[in-house]
Amino acid sequence: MLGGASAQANPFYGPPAEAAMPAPPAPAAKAVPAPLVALQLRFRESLAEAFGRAADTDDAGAQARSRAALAVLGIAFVYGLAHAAGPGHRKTVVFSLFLGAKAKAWEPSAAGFLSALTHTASGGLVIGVLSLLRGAVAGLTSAETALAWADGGSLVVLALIAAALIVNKLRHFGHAHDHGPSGDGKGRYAVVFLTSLVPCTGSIMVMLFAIYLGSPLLGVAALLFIALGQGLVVSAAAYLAWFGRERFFHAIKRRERAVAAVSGGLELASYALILAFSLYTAWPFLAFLKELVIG
Amino acid sequence: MRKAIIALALAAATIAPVSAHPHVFIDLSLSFEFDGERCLGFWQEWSFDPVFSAQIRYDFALPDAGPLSRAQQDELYEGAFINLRRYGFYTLLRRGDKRTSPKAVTRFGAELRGDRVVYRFYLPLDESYSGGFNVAIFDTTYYSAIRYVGEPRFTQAREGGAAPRFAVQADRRFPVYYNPQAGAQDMTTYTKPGPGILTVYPDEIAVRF
Repeated sequence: MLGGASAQANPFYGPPAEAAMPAPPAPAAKAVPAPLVALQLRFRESLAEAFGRAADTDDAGAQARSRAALAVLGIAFVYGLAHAAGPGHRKTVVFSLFLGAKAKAWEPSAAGFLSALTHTASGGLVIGVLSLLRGAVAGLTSAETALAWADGGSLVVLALIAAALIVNKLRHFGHAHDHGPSGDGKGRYAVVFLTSLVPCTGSIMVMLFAIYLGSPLLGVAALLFIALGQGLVVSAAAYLAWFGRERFFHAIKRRERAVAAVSGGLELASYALILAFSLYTAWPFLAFLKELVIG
Repeated sequence: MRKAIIALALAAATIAPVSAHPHVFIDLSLSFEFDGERCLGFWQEWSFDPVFSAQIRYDFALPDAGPLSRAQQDELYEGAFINLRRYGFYTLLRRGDKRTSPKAVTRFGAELRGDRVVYRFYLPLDESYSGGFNVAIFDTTYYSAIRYVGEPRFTQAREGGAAPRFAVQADRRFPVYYNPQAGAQDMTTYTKPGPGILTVYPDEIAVRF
């Protein structure tokens, strides 16, 4: 709905001032199942009520406000869980990375929480930076335009990284004992970090709401709890791949050549999956860039 | 190898296009005005969720409570309402299989109700709607999630005039087609599916006499 040229314009407010500049298209708007919409609304109402009580200086006193603040954090945590369980949030990326590469037992959780923290913090950062640039609280419109750029940009980066990993893997494919991934170690975390820079829409909403009510610090605390909830879900996706890989290779460990072949094949397949996912999702953004450059 | 296939299938299952979540939630109530068997028009009342309400309050420096002045309502009309004409005010009118959206509405008003901002406006209808019609209030861009609250109400100006009947249902014979990538300026009404065009069956209120 950030319509065409003005990508993510708030339909109520009309094309924003920055709409004069081209903005990338928003992710395609598709029907959200009614129960999910109801859940989102329930979350929003609960959060608003708790935020309101926490920010209400006329309320029963400090104790009541503290309880309300705790409620905000609890709701934020649950929201993080629910929000990350939906589409996106780079679960595919971490899943593919841990499917394709050998890793230590703690690494899936490290990658999951790194992804969630980066994703959530980006949302708060977008609001902060845009607010400073504009001298006022950044509205949803500006934040979403930034989000559209970040989303498209990070997907293109992800596609390039996946392509590079595929080329690298193909160059070394068939080497004996090549169980190690071409993109493991620091490279894995770089991929997770870069591709999680897309600001979280939920975090943007929470941070904006906190600022509207004059409670920015509580907003930042809520973002941390959203990240905690999201981190659990993304880590679970990573562990799903990690356990699957470990069990699979445990089952065929006596057949060394098969292990090498399957390991290499899996790794290649996971990078191909990331590449396909990135290109598919980034396609509208690439079409926008083409139109912007070529006309 | 079966496990590897399962693992890859799971990976594929995690791929899904990022959905645009609703950013605004609207509780909607409708009130129809009749003169005999002619429907003169209907009021729409939109109660926004507390987050979007807070944004409107902040952006338009509205008071915490109390009535809004005419000037404040006019500012809301210009700044946070009238652009919806590009979206047909989310209103889909249907007579038979012909569907239209209004280009204008009248008698806009706004008020604060607790932590909610509430809009109210009127859509006049011409005589061609006298035979009964269907109406859906639905945002095909999914920026706003709209839910009907309560039963439709009505007023009857003519003494002894017939009471209308209302029924809420999604009629799968009359889908709405839309382009999820369409821009704000794109008011194309799609009458059939095509590449990139999606189909939806919004809940309609059937108004009969």
